[in-house]
Amino acid sequence: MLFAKPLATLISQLEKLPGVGPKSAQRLAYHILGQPEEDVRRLADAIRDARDRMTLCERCQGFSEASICAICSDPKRDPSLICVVAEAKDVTAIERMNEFRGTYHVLHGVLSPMDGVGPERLKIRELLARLESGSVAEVILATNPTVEGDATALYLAQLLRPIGVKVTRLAHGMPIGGDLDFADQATLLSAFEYRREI
Amino acid sequence: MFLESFRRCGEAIRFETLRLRQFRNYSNLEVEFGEELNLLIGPNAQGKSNLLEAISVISTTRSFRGAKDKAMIQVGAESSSIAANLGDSEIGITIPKTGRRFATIGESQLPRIQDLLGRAPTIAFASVDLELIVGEPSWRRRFVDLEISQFSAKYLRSFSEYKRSLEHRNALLKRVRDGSEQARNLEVWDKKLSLSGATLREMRSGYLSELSVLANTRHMQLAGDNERLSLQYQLNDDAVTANDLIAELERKRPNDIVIGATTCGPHRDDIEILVDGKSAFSFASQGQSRTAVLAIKLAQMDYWTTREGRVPALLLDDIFSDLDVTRRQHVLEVSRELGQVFVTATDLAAVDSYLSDNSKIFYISNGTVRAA
Repeated sequence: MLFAKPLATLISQLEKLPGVGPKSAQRLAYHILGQPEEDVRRLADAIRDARDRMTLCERCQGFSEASICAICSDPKRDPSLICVVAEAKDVTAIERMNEFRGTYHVLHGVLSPMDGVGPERLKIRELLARLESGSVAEVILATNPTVEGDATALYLAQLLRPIGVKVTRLAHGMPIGGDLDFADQATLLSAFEYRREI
Repeated sequence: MFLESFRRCGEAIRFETLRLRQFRNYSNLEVEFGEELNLLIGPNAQGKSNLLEAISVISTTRSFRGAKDKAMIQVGAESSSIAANLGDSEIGITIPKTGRRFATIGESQLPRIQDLLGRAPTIAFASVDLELIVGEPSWRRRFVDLEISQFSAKYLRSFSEYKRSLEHRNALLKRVRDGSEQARNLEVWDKKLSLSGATLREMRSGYLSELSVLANTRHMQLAGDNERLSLQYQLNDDAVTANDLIAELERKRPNDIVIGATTCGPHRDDIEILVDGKSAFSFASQGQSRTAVLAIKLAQMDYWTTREGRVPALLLDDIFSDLDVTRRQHVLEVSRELGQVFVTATDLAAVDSYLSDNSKIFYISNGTVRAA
């Protein structure tokens, strides 16, 4: 056997993390073993603690410590505006911009039949429930501009339009400060397709 | 010379230098090429075609021999890299054993590997190209896909969208068949497929109708005035517009669910190549097929020159032995008129009468390249 059993177990657990291959998993495992016991305990506690105390916000399905998250319970946020994102980390990206004052809805994935992900695996029912009150004015679809992200947006648009809510999709185009010469051609192409009059 | 009209219509691509690191049998190589004809001479299995392959990879991101990435990395190496100096810019591509390939221009990394396409166009001609006539329809689709992708970002995007949406739809058809998803979930994939699919069909048939005219002109020069060559795009169903395609996908849906695959759309189309009005696939002789392929390759050059305003480099891999004397002359004259050419051959005898001051000869033996 290459690794003693406890080490092998640690490596195989680390390997399951996104972006961690067999080599990184080994490196991380050896690093952890070399750390003071106190530090390792803190890491283990932090993992368990976060998993135990974080739950999904009942409204937006983002991660939250309370049953309603900080954003959804903030009276300064506009609940009539919902920005739909694929993953919880996308909320952080948009919040960093510090401009959007509406609320979010996290789907926890995108449609991907190849990976066995259909609409029922996404938090779509929860989104429809939020629209029932009739107080939502606009739903912004902010899934990634990939085949799966676009298909998910298309699916949601078809589902939401009959309800009578305004449905919009984030624009695709040139990155600000970007150089035309180095833009990838697909981005440049969509920047042309979605150009607007100034 | 009849090619005068094409001459100087476009800017010729020139590979000034090529640098290979751990690419096939080359550990570390730097070659300085000539502006026009470059002859790569040496016995078989010494690395002549590998050099042409490296040029095709940096030009199209793919091997013209259809080789997998791993096969191109030198045994025992972690990655392989190719760099080319084009005079006004330097482009590079790195192919790692694990992880993603990446491309560079100058010192900067390009956002995506596909952004390399069209920066240094090449047209390769090897014996495997005979499949264009005698092979399965997939050969002919691959031919148009690769070619149009080199000059159209729109085509490339539609092509990758179509391919991925098709994989999703086929996966979903199987999930509907075994009851794990509802048939109406297919709607969004039908829509995605029909939008990108209609673009593919429109651009493929547009390109082919122009190529057909050019190929026929070339064919008449090669085979005489009375044998006409034509290329026609053949749809597998009647859907022309995106709306037609949606309707067709819906119509085929029950059957598609049963077999778990999509039975209409551009991934089932073909190109009919006619020599003298008859299907070349069924009726052409070996000689006729070769002439037809050669005419198509030269027409590709013409298309680039006249429509895109650029002259691709021509890569001729061991096809000289297959051509008769007049055709050899024709190819070399055409290519010398047009731009930079790379020719592999086992000996000089077949080509030495075409050498000019601007030709450069390289002797290749066991992974080393010696300029004569």
